[in-house]
This record gives sequence, C-alpha cells and structure tokens, in this order.
Amino acid sequence: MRLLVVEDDETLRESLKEQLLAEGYRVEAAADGEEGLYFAREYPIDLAIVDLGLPGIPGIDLIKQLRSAGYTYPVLILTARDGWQDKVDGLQAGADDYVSKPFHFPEVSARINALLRRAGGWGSAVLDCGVVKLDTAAQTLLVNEAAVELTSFEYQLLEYLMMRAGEVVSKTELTDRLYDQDYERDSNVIEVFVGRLRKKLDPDNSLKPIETLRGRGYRFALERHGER
Amino acid sequence: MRSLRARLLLVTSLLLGGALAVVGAILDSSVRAALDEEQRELLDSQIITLLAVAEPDEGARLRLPYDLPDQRFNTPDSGFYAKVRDRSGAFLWRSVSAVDLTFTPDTPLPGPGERVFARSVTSTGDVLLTLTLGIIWTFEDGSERYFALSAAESERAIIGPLKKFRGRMFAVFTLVAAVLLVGMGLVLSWLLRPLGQIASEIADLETGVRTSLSDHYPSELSGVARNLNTLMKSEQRRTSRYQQTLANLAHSLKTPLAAAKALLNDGKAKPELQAQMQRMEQIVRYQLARPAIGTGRTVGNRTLIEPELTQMLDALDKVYRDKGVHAEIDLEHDMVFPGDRGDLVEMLGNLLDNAYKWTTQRVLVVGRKVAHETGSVLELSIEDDGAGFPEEAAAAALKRGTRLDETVPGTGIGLAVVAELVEQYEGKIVIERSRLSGARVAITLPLS
Repeated sequence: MRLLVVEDDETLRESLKEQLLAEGYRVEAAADGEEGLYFAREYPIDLAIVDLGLPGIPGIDLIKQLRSAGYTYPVLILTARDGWQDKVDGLQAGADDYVSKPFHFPEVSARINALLRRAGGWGSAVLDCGVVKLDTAAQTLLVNEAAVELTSFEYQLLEYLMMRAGEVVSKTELTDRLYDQDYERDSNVIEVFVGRLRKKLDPDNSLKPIETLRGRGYRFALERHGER
Repeated sequence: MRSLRARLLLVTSLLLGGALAVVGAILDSSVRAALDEEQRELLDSQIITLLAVAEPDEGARLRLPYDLPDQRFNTPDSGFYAKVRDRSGAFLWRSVSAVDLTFTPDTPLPGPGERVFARSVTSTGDVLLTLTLGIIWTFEDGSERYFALSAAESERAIIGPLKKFRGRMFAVFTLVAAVLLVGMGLVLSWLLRPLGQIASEIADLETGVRTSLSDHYPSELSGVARNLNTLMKSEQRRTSRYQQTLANLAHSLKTPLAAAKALLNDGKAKPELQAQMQRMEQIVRYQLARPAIGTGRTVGNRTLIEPELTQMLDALDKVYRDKGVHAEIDLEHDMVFPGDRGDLVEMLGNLLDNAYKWTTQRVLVVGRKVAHETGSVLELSIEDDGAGFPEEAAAAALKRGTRLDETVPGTGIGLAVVAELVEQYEGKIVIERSRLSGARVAITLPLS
C-alpha cells in the first residue's frame, strides 16, 4: 500500500513516515500542497494523509483538488484545530476521517487500516474469506482456524490481494504498491512471494486461494464472507 | 414613575389643573363682582323709587305707603325687601315682604349721603344683599332728620346666573384640559417614537433579526445609536481576534507537540518524560479549546440549528460509515440556537461524536422550544442505544474544573468542553440513561 503524507512540520512528517514504513507501507511524504499534488499525479496512491494547516495550498483545497482530479482513494485529515467546523469542512471537501493533533500513532494507524479496508469494500477489521481469515488489526492470519505466521512482506502482499478479493490485481500494481520506487521493476520478487503465500495458505494445494491470470495478474479467488 | 410618558403626563396634568383652577377662581370672583355691581345698581334704583314715594308729614315724619309700586315688595318671602331706620337703627317702616324678618347682623348705618352695600343673613337663613343710603331730610318746618333707607334682594337672584356661569366655565375648562392632554399625549408619542424604535431594534439585535441599529434617528439619539453600533462592532472584532489568537496558539503548539511525541515513542524515552508530555498535550487540548470556542450569549447572534445538524450528521455518517448508524432528527425547521454558529457546531460535534462512538445503531436528536414562566428555553437532547456510561464517569465529565489527569481521554474533553459552553450560555446539561438504553445528554439553554 502506498500512502501520501502531506504535512509541513518536518519532524512530524519524518516521524510519521518512519512509523508508517515500519508498518510496512510505502510512503510519499510532501511538505506542502504543491508537492502533495505532484506526488498524487506521479504515484499510484492508496490513501492520503493531509494536514489541514498547510502553507501555500490549504489542506481543504488540496483535498478538493484531489477529488476533482478524480482520485477516489481515502483521505485522512490531520488537524491541529480542535474546532468541529474544521473537521466538518474537511469531511465535506472529500476527506473520509480525521485525527486531531497531537495524536497517538496507533490511532492514526488504526484509522488508516480502517479506511483502506473500507475502500476495498470490507466492513470489519477481519477480512473473512471463509477458510482464510486475515485480521488486519492484529495483523494475524488464520487458515482453518489455525494461526499461520507471515513475514512482513508476505502479510502486505496477502492483505493487498484480500482487500481486493475477487478483482484482478496486476503485477505492476503490486510492484508499485508494495515496493519502494528504487527496487527493480522487473524483478520476480512478486512471483516468489505469491508462491510462498500459496504454500502457507494451501499446503496440500486443494484450496487454490490465489489464481494467476497469464499476462493480467493475480486474483484472490476465495469468496468474501460477511458484509460487503 | 417608570415611564417617561407617565411622568410627563402627570406633571402636565398637575400644572394644567393648577393653572385652570387659578384662572377659574379669578373669573369666578370677577363675575361675582360684576353681578354684585349690577345688583347694587338695581337696589340703588329701588331706593330712588322708595325716596320718590316717601311723603313728609306735619309731624316731621316720613310717611311711606303700605303698598309699593313694585309688587314684589308687597309679597312676603319674595326675596325683595325694603326698610327705613332712624339714627338709632330702629325701624320706622318695613315693606310688607320684610315684616316678619330679622337681619343678623343688621346692616350698618351709613353717614348722610353715603351708600353701604352689605350681605346679611335673615332669620330664615336667606342671604340678602342690602344697599343702604343715609340721608338728611329737611322738613318744611326747617327741622332735619336722619334716615337710613335700605333695599335688599336675596342672593338667590345672582346665585342662579353664577351657577350657570360656573357650569359653563367648568365644561369649557374640562374640554380645554382634555384637548390639551390628548394633544400632549399625541406629541409625546411622536417624540417618544424614536425611543420605542431604538428599544425594539435593540431587542432585534438580541434575537439576531438585525446586526446593527439603523441610522435614521433624530439628532439627540443618533449619537447613541452610532456609539452602540461602534461598541458592538468593536466587541465582535475583539472576540473574533481573541478566538483567532487562541486558535493560532493551539495550532502552533500542537504540531510540535505531535512531533515531540512521535520522537519520544521512537527513542524509548523515560516514562516520566512521556507522562509530562501527555499532561502538556491534555492541557493544550482542553485549556486552549475552552476559551477559543464559546463566545457565550452575545447580542445579535443566533443560528438555525437544522442546517448545522444535518451537516454534522453527514460528516459523522462518513466517519462512522462502517457502523451504519441510523440517526433520527426531531425538531422544527426554524428552530434557532441563541448564539454563535461555532459554539453550536462545537456542542453538536462533541455530543454527536460521542453518540456515534457509543451507539449500536440508533442516534436520536430531539429539539424543543419550551415556554417557562421565566422565559422560553431551548431543550436539545442527543441519545444513543449503546451501553450508556457509568454514572460516576458522567458526573466527573460534567464537573466543572475537573482535574485534567482524571478525565478519560477521548470522551472527557469533549463533554467538558460542552459543559463549559453550556455554562457560558447560562444553560444546564444533564446526562442520564436513555430510553434507547444508551446515554442521553440533554442541554437546556435560555432563549431570551
């Protein structure tokens, strides 16, 4: 998942970036609205975190511009103003949730998680595909009610695929979302990790949770359970 | 005397009454004097007649006929009397009408050639006006004798015209007074109309119908109106500058605070340092939020509730989309909040956010305008069907000046801010169990 962080305070921006990277996200960090718009145009973004009190283009205007440019991904507002009017204005401009400063990072993380889930059409923190259940809050995987250990990258890959369960996700998209930009594009890392995921999810090759569609990408094939 | 109009009318009535009484007394006494004069002339001519019919006889006496030409002198109790006395005051002759009358006191005896006009009371209680002429009669034998000739008429003769005059005078004066007072009242209303207008415009300011006083007042009032407008504008400016400053202060403190916190989390800082940080954060959140919001009830502020409520519910529906909260609104379209829009948004935001946070599915917002003896109030309640919250937590959240480290993060600050706002509006806030099973927060704000 690639996140865009637009925050003018350097210390806060850098520490957010570090903590988000540590959670396994790819992060583009911008210091003002101009830069934020540039990143939004240049990179495939899954979620934007926007500080309302930005120099230059105000956060609200940035959100409006993102929306009118057709970007539909979730936007999380960071606001130092406690006033409810600012929150309401931000949400009306197109944001999806807000966090008041100063915040606890786990709170931001939980909101991001919830927004991403929701964008993928999942209503709860547990992505439930029957036999395979991925708890995005606890970051744990259950297969047939038994816990399965995943590495950080395996988890990110599976989460991305399950978030979009039923849809075809191209290899390029996965590379963009899950890699840092300086990784080599044509590497076969994705194929390797998909292979490892299949072994962990489906050791006896009976479930076939991840389909490969030649030249198009991958699809998480198990049906979603629970509300959509 | 609370009213200027009543004061002015009272003073005017007293002055008018006094003036009319004095004028009336003067007029009355001159009319009386004129009537007396007329009477005196009439009596004078009677005395002349009396002299004309008097015949001296050889005994040096004056003889008068039994019957006088004017029949009224011959009729008892007719009100017309005549008498002749000698120097000692003894009666020498009386007209028939005066035979059985005594005069108390008897009219004085004037000197020769003098006339005396006097009032006396008869034995029957009648008041008589009497003119007496003193004469020296020279008889043929050369002797001279003094006689006092009196003609009297009952006052009844002039009381009638006097009463008639007084009645007419009273009617005319009443009419004049009434016309003057009514005219005065009309002039007063005309004069006082700008005062009434300024009062109603100030009332409009309070309810928010207008934001400043109009500028078409008479010169005596236009200064007041202008100064009020200036005062109000400067108050609004000062309040908004104050809020702006505090908001900026809060804003500029929070971002470095967030950054510092993030750094502390990274570096495994001492727990004491983290605790201090936490404390600083709460102080900034609570203390700076408190004055920055809340202008309290200021003149000229009111806000329609429904649009703000709908907007807030839309925003929260978005934030709590996963929950699928069903919010019901029950209030009149034109219901107003007696104050600043920011304050309303703040109250609604904090209360509805709590409701959405704790609800299972239903949130109910009810607004009512209730008339009390002391004036009408706005009752606004927000309830949810969640688990409700423990009573002691509710009490603590509402208690004014609750110590910061005792408030529960997330819920405490929002409710404390609402409680603070409600207090600024001289209202009341109650937290109780809702019929929907969750919490019901009800605020009551005076509307006038």
